[in-house]
Amino acid sequence: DSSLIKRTCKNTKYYNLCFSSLKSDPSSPNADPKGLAVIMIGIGMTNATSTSSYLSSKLLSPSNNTTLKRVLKECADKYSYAGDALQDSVQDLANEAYDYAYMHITAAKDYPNACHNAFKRYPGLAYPRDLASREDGLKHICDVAMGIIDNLDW
Amino acid sequence: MHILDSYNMLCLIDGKLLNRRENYDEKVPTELKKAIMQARMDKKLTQSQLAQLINKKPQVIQEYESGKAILNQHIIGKLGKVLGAKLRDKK
Repeated sequence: DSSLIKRTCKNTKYYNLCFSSLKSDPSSPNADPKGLAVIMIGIGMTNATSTSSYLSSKLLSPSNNTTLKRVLKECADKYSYAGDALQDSVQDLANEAYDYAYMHITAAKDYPNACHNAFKRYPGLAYPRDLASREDGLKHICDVAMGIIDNLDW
Repeated sequence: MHILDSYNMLCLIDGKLLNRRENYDEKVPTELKKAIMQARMDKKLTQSQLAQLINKKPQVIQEYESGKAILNQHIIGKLGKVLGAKLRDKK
């Protein structure tokens, strides 16, 4: 039954992303709205961790650009922190601290900005297109999760 | 206004500010650093103890209370929870 998923996703900024993400999770049919939020946050955690690993792998590439390496390391850390923040929000949901859950997702959404900002500090460094895509991806996932939480009964 | 009410207010303000790109590197505002210090002392915690509670180095607390830290909503959230700040009632 997808009716709950559809109703829940209608209250989020990105319906298609919300629906496809939740629908593909095997536990979503049995989840309540809070459970759907947890699923979405979990997807965000996977995304953030994946990006952090991706950035770390780039550090292993041979390069003499020490500035780029420093910024990539900073970005890898930021995405790792985003994952941590999302983990905190799951704990907050479990404790029914919905205000903090919302805040920690907002924090997670901001870490990609910090990464992007790090690149901006050095005009000679181009912000990788694939990283821009990952940034948007994580932000949209966070927006969906925030939309779901915003409509919980709290 | 109780110090924690001020803290709550600042958290909300900060939450909004942090959504504005130009504020990514904003320093901790004076009111917030005072609120954190006051709330910590109200709970009779040292900087090291508070840092341990949020799983961070004592330097993080020092930087927040001295105003040297860059605003980080994740840290603020952790501090708020430990210090007992209720952010807001949604409804």
